Formats: sequence, structure tokens, C-alpha cells
Amino acid sequence: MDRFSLSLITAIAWLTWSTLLSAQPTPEITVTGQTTIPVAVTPLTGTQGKVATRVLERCLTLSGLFRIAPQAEASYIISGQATDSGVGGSVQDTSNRSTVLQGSYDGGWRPGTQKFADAILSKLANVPGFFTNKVAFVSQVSGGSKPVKEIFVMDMDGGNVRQLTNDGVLSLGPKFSSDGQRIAYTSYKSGYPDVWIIDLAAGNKRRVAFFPGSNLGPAFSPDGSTLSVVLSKDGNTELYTISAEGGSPNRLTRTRGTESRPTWSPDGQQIAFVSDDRGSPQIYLTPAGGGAPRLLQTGSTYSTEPDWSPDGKLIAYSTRAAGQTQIAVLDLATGQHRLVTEAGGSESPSWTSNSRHLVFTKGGQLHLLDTVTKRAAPIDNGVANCSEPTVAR
Amino acid sequence: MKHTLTWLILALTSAAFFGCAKDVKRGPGTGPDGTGAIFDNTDPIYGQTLPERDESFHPENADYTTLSAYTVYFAFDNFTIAPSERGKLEQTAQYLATNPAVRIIVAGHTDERGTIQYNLGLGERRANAVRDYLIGLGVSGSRIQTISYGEERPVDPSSNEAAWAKNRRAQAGIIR
Repeated sequence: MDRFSLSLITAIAWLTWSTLLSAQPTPEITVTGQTTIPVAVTPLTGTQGKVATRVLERCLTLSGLFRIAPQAEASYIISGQATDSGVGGSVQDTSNRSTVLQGSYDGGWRPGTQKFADAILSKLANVPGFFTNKVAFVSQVSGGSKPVKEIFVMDMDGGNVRQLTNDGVLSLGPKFSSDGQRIAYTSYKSGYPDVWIIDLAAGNKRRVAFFPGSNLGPAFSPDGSTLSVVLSKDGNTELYTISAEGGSPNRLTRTRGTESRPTWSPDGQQIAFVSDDRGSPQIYLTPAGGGAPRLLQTGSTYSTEPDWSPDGKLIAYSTRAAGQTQIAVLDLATGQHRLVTEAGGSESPSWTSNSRHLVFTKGGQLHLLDTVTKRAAPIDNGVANCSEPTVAR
Repeated sequence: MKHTLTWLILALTSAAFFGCAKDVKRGPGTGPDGTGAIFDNTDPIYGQTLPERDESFHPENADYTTLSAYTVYFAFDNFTIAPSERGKLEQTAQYLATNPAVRIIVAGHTDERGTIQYNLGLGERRANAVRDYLIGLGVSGSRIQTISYGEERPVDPSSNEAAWAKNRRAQAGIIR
């Protein structure tokens, strides 16, 4: 599928949606051609060939853009070899037997396989790859009257899972820094909800906000210097910014409502956040340096968990539609919004690097979603009770 | 004296406020249609800074048993102290008056519906609503800490209306 037909499909999807919204009589448009590309994977050779084949197939399937098919039905045949040092791979077009992609992808068999998958996405589907992105998430590791939640990190395909915290308390709401080196989250380690930062490179963590009351919802500014946080130290939950090193917070809101879950624009100029100042949670924009917040029209009076896309154009959020929680996407330029999930109970969207796919949770299971085709697939990571994913992109 | 007067005014305003908190919360010109003024910078009840944290005290060690009969319950997605719950807070205030050395921590909880982060905020609001009500009844704010557990600590983990009703609560624990 080339860029033009994808743009066309996107345009048609928007048109269809806006038609539904405005309810004006317009010619009926049928969306066609949204099929997956059939590819055959010849098992990769080399010492890590077997595992690399599995990861490659999983990446391609998860993307929602491909399906694994027998060679006779495939449009492309993928082959290659994987060793501890990396992956060499090629893709052949079955219609004319030409090689459309050939490359070597280093950094070890796993990153090599992910880079190969990204190259395939880009070349065959014209969609930027994102399988080198990492995902951090929360898992409830024990229940009872005082449940314990810990922070984990994994590769986008669900492999390479590592547990990052082992505090035996509630750890909630992780958010990656834009360089993927740090994770800010709320931990009850002191007994109170405090903001902590995990430094992945240094392998340590540090408490940066521990004001009286709640210290919630930390999100790194794009340059990593500042956190937006929700604090209740002044008697009601409000939005603040604070240095990522800790220190004195700068208050951004003054409301009777509850603020939650800030997310920064990629240029660092604005913060989108949730407030129920009008009686139900809705999404607002405010200048990061302070100023008057502006309500975003999301098509619902119950919208939470905004996540700003890396290209700055979209905000994904969870919203209540027909009594169920679903994921929606708002186009900031056009003001148009649409549901991108098919089933209720879908929560906590986090964009991948291509501003098209996102990770969300449903029923304790992480999913990867293509917001254009609305195709979603569970990410099998072998971890139960997952919530609040955040993507390092 | 000045403080006494302030608290008296707060007590009176909070009584009025909690009687119709939903209405007051929205206020004139702040309808959900996106046209009215928002964030009007008036914060009549809130803005009472929380007491500094006592790091020698761990919230897990609070005694939530002694005052458990006075646990306050809330309607769905709401942090208003219902008329049925006011008597409990009067008794809590009475207990604190007769035990002037006692400090408490109010833990706010929600049911499982709604998103995790929103519920953490809602739990905080419930804890704060109780704190403000107690302040209105004459208890010094410096004796009342708050904590929110959001939806994370249900009394009943079932997914039904009876369980949800039990889980939407604010509970006072004695700091020890």
C-alpha cells in the first residue's frame, strides 16, 4: 500500500466520521482496501534464528498491517539470519521475485530483529516503524486488603520483561522521559503518595516530590528538565510544574475541581490535563508557564488520560461512550475526534513514536492499536494485571 | 481571636457549601457547554494548606479501628458530605475535642469505576471534604492529615453496586 492510498483511507475515515457528527446528507462512502499485507517468513537461520523468527512474526502481526501467510499466498517473502551480534535480512516481492529490502541490523539479535521489523513496516506498509520503542507499565503483583503494584518495562513486542521496582507498595502512573532514560511515577514507599524518578542508566531511583497530601501524575517536559505534577499540598488537587531535580513547585491552576494526568506538547509550550472543575472530568490546555486554561472539545463530558502524540498533532484520551470506557483521538488542527477502539474497558492510551499506533490496557492486558485501521491486538508479555502503559519512543 | 473568627466564618460557609456543593461547584456561567468562564480563581473552602508531613509517622500504622463507625460514604463520582453522613463527622469532631492530643489521617477511597489517576484525585477530594467539614466543626486543620488510595484499596473487591457503595469512603485513622 503506498502513501497515497493510506492518506486516502485516512481522509475517508475522517470524512465518514465528520459526516456522522454533522449528520448532513452526503454521498455514502465505502471504505475498502483496509486489508493486511500477507507475508511469509522463512525461518531465520543463525544461532538466534528461532527466537528472532518468533519475535519478527510477532512484531509484524501486532502492527495490524501484516498477516503471516503461507508462501503461496504471500505478497512478500522475508528471510535472513540472526546471531548474537544482530540480524541480516531481506524481503522479496513474490510478484516479480525482486528484492525490495535488504539490510543488516545490529545491536544484538533482539534489537536487530526489531529494527528489521521497523524497516519492513516502513518499506512495505509505508508506516514508520516503532518496534524499538520500550513500554513501561504497572502490574498488580499481589492482592488482598493491601494490593501491591510494581513497575515493569518490556520491549514493544511483549518480550524482554524486567521488573524495575520491588517496593512491596503501590507504584502507579509511570511516564517515560522523552529520551527513554528515566521514568517518573508515584510510589507509596514512604507511606504517602510521592513522586519518584527511576534513572534506568544509573540503575537507581530518587524521590523528587513529597509534599503534604498527594503527589501524583508526574510527566516529563520534552527536554526532561521539568515535571508537571498534581499536588494537594494547598488543600485541593492542583496542577503544578516542578524541576525534575525537585524543589519549589509553580502552581498552574486554581480550581475547585480535581486535576489529573498532565501531558506535554512536544514543543514544551503547553500542557494538556484533566479537570472536573465543570462537574465531570474533561481535558484542558494550559500554557506550561502559566495562563488561562482552555477546554478541549472532545465530544464527551467525560474524558481523561490525555496523551499528546510525538508529532504534536493528536491527543489520545480515554472517554466514556455509551457507559463504557473507550479510547478516542482528537486532531488538534481540525478539532475532529473519533473513537478508535471497538470495545469498552479500554483505558490509558500511550502513543508510539509514529503517532499512529498506541498502547492501551483492557482487562489487565496491554494491547497495541493502529488508530487508523482500529485494529488492536493483545501484547502477550506473560504478566498479569497490567495497567497504565507508557511508551519510550 | 482573628483566627477564631476566620474559623467561624469557614464553619458557616462550609455548612452552606456542603449543603449544595454540586451547585456551588459549577457556579453561574460555568456550564458544560464550554462557553462560560472557567477556573474563576475563587476557592472559598479549599486553599487551606495541609499540615507538614510527620515523617516519623507511617500511614500504614494508623489506627483505623477506633473511629471506624464514623466512616463516611459517598455517592458515585461525588465528594459531597451527604446529610446522612454529617452525624458521623460531628461524632468524630466530638472525639477530637475530648482527646485534644489526638491527630488523625483521613484516607479517601473510590470504587473501581473511572480511571486510576482520576480516582486518586477523587479519593483526595473525599479526604479533603472530610477534613474541611471537621475544620468547619472547629477542629484545627493542623491535626488532620489526608491520604488518597483511589480505587486501590477496596473493602469489597466485587464488581457490583453493593461493593462499590462500601468502597466509596473516607476513613479517619488515629496517628500513632
